[in-house]
Amino acid sequence: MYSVKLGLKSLWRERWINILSVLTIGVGFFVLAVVALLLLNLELASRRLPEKFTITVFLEDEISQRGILRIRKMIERATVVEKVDFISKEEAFEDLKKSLKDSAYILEGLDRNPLFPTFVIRLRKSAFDREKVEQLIKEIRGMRGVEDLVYGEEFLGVVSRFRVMIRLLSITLMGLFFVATVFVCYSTVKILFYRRKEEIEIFKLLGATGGFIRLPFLVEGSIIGLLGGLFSGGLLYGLFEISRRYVAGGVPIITGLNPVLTVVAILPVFGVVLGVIGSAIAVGRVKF
Amino acid sequence: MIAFSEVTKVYENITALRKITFSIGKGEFCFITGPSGAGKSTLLKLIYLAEKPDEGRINIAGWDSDRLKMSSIPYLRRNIGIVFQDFKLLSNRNVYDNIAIALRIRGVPEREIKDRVHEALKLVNLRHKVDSYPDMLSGGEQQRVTIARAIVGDPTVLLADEPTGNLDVDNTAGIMRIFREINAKGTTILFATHNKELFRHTGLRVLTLDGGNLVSDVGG
Ligand SMILES: Nc1ncnc2c1ncn2[C@@H]1O[C@H](COP(=O)(O)OP(=O)(O)OP(=O)(O)O)[C@@H](O)[C@H]1O
Ligand SMILES: [Mg+2]
Repeated sequence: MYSVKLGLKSLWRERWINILSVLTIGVGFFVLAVVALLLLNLELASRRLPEKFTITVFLEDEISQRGILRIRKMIERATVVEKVDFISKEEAFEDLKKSLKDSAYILEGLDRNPLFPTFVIRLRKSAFDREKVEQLIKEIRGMRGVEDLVYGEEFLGVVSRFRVMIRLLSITLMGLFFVATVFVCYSTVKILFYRRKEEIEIFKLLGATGGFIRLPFLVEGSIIGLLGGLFSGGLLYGLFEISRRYVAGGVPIITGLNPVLTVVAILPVFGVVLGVIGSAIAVGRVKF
Repeated sequence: MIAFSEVTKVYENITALRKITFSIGKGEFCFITGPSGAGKSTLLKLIYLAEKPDEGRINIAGWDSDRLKMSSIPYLRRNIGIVFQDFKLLSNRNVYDNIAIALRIRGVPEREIKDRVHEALKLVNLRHKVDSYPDMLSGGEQQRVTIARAIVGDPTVLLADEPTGNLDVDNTAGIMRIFREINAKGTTILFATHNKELFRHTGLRVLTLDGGNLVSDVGG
């Protein structure tokens, strides 16, 4: 394939401009990857937050065993619930005594147990969904035998808003970087295309097809993208290794990422795809 | 093979060709002459589809110029060998590659290319310049590289725009001999020149243009 050879030759002949674009794309991808990984980590961390988040349901004092069972069953049916613990009035009182330790004497004056029987609901960390949690809270509120419940309403809102923001930010960033990469490939190939305009005109007059003219540029664009991707993958891997070896205990936010290696492998693929897109736009339709 | 009917070509405000009608049969050797600016090059450009007619129709080997799809233009051009008046050589490639490119574009295998390029270079007396770059060649040598490139693909039609414009008497005679040989093998030739000596005693067909008009069509 002579056409492919032309692309490879030009890659070498125009090496300075090509190296420049490879570096641009490489650094861009690297920054993107690091930011994306940080965001992903934040996202994962925030996903763990609801695990600690519990809903405490206070039941009516005089509730029957059957009533307790009924409420428990209803709560357990909800998908967001991981575990439901029942704490009886007496257990709650013992707990309180224990936590007061030496000051437990202040309870001695009480002639009856002032505490309520309670359910402590632990939420599932995966499949955390704010709307579903709120739905559950509303349902529990409406149940017979429920006195009151305590939950971190504010906290819940913050977590969920935070996660929406992270997601938006990641998507925007990714989009921006993709467009930027396509643009770098586009402008590089466009420059190469104009530099070879005369040659292309001659090729056309000699009977070259559009494919023959386009292919070298697509080859060039894809290789620029590939090298950019490999370069950024190398940087990322380097950062990963350095932080693992030399930072005591490792920088958890980087070393804790098992997706790092996946990202390192994916970057060159992205590079090729975006390179081809950019150069295809740059060359456009070949007119005769 | 080539038929013009009422073809007019206008550049901005200059009418380069006005209502030109003629037709050339397969295997014909036809000269196009006329003073500078008469429209000779324009006529050839219309044939190899570098320009579109403003009026009239052109038929090339059965292809109608205004019904031709853009994607089939390359395949039509592969049947046409062109000697450009301004050579159009690739300055960053040596003589060998300049000629070989015409075959590489068609996907001819490199081994076959090698034989055919050397054969074409032998025809134009330039075998010793195979590794030179166009800038290192004289005008006449560049012109002969262009001729070699035009004939290397065994075209059915050869369009030559002042192919001997830069050549001395000996080389001109050589080129004319080559063209006659190619023509004898069945290639249709259109030869634009303002050098009347080239066709004076040949008895070949001569189209004369002047100021964009076809003023005479004799011989053949
Ligand atoms: N691309 C163009 N734009 C505008 N005018 C043009 C263009 N090409 C040719 N012309 C004009 O068209 C007329 C015919 O030009 P053409 O090149 O066909 O002449 P020619 O017969 O080949 O002349 P020569 O013998 O000098 O090569 C001239 O007046 C020229 O100035
Ligand atoms: Mg001319």
